[in-house]
Amino acid sequence: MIGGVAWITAAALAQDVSAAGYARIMTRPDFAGGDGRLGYWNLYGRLLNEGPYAALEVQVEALEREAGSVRPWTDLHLRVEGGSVGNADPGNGVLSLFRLSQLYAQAGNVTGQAVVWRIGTLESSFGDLGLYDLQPARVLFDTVGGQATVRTDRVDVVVGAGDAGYALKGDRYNTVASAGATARLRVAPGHLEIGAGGQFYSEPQVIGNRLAPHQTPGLGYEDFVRGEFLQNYAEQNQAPAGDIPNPEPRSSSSYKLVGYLGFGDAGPLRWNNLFVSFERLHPLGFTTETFEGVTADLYVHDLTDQRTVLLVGDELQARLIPDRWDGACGALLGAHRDADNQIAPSDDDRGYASIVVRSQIYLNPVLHLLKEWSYAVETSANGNRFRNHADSIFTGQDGVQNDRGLEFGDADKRVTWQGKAGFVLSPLGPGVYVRPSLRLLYGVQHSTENNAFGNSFVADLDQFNTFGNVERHWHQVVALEAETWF
Amino acid sequence: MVLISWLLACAPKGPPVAAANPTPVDLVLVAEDQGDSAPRDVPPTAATRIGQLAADRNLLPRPITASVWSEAFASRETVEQRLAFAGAQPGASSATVLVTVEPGYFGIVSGRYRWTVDVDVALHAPDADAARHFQVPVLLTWDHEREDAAINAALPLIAREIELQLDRWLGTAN
Repeated sequence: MIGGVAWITAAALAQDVSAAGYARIMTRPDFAGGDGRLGYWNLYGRLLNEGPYAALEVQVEALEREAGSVRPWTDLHLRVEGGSVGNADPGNGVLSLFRLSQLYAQAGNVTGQAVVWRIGTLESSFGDLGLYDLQPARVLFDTVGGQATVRTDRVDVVVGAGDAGYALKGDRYNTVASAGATARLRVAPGHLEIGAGGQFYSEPQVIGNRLAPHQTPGLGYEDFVRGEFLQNYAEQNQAPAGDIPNPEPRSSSSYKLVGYLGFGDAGPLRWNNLFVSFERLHPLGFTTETFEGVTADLYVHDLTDQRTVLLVGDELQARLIPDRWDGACGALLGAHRDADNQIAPSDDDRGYASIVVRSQIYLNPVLHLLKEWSYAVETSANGNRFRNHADSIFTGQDGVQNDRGLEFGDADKRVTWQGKAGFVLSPLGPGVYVRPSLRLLYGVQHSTENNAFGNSFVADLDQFNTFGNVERHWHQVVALEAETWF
Repeated sequence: MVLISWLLACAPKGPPVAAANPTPVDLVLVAEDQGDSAPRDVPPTAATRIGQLAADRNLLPRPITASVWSEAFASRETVEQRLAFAGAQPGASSATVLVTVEPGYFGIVSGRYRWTVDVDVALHAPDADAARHFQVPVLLTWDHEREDAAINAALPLIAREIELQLDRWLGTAN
């Protein structure tokens, strides 16, 4: 970090440097014992459901872009970001929670005016669902490599390729070749545009590399989930602990397809973005188990290679009364499926649907009244996953207690709605996404799940749990927040 | 709730900016794009807003369009050169407001399209000269919003500087 600051300082002295970024900070005293967020996640709208965040991106223009000129230009971008701010969250702003998330160099006017070359971290996105803070139609964000962007009046094309191994596998790195492309066609510029794209990943087998894809023979899904393969294998085969078949090499591949439809500037409709993405998640590497003091790596390629995610998201903004009343509405549909898993509820076997509606009334150019409402249904495709009551710890498999059951709680569906309202100070004037924004908000949530918000409650019915469990389906917070892009 | 929203939305706005002395003023409003395109007029929304700032002060705005200066400004890049060119035109007013905006794309920052608008605001009048260069960071929501949207989004800060220069000039003149 110190090196980064030194580098930025040196660069600033030598080059034309500009900075951009994003920051949000809030205090939400939570007298219900929660962590200050109204609900679990931004499926219910990002407002009041996200924590503090800060991002700083520096652009160093080694060769400045010039107006009215086709002379070559080049710049370097460096972004540091993280989700912690002093006194505002448990991390207290420690720099270990921040990371250098983007670093790339660009050059233009070197092979024609329309082409921009980029080396480093890559990205191509069709846009953002601002109400959810999600970008479903984004590719190449996990890849470091090279990218070419061609932009013309009617068509944009982005082509990129590189390595996604570090993003997908972290410290268990193995090369994952990645290539992707997007194309956007402005059918009627400013009124209608469409887009499509995709990304493909390939991780070929490498004999002898323990971090390359493999499968441990005989490993079944239930043993994998329970972490009992070593024990069961030893018992069934009368073998010493850890004496299991050698892993078999595999090749892994995965992909993501994205689609986009945008239209607007018609009547009160400012713009509507519709995003679709379908992704086959990349197979996982290995897990570890310990039995009788012996630890072994268990390779799970074949147990994690049929996971898919379908996302459909839409967001529209409307100018209901010019300079007086704007509205925004978003919807999100998600279907996660894991064809390998037929026995245990998980993040890979679930569905969700949500709608968020926001109204912003401009009492005067800088003082606004904000209201937002959301309704969301989340389902588990493999049995119960949600605890609806304080004593749900006693229920599991088919609603009855089962110490060996893989289900969790007493419901396979969670229904949550939230209402938020308050005042916004917006010095730069009207607009749903005009920032900086200083907000005083009140939010209320009702969920079918008990205590459906981040908390540190003792969630068991042990006789020595002296704190007890509480039945609580309503949750409310008052928030003072500031948010800005710059 | 809908009724309350409509009633609140119809609440009166604050009073308009107060006016000063009536004087003809030439408005030279220049947009420059990165690439090989020639200097052009700022988008109509910006031109209207800036003209209104002058009109609100009992000034008589005279927009000088790109057909007059576009070719000449390609080789006259400084504020001084452009003010001199505008002042030398037949029938030029004694006062000129020159606004030059150059939007440039920065990149995607946390889901927003970040632009930087380089701005020069200059005022030349018989008893006053003022000039300031500054940058306005602009965050746009959609990809199809390009240079003109960035200029329009920067308008509040550009307008503040124009108001400041006009008010200082008119305050001195009065």
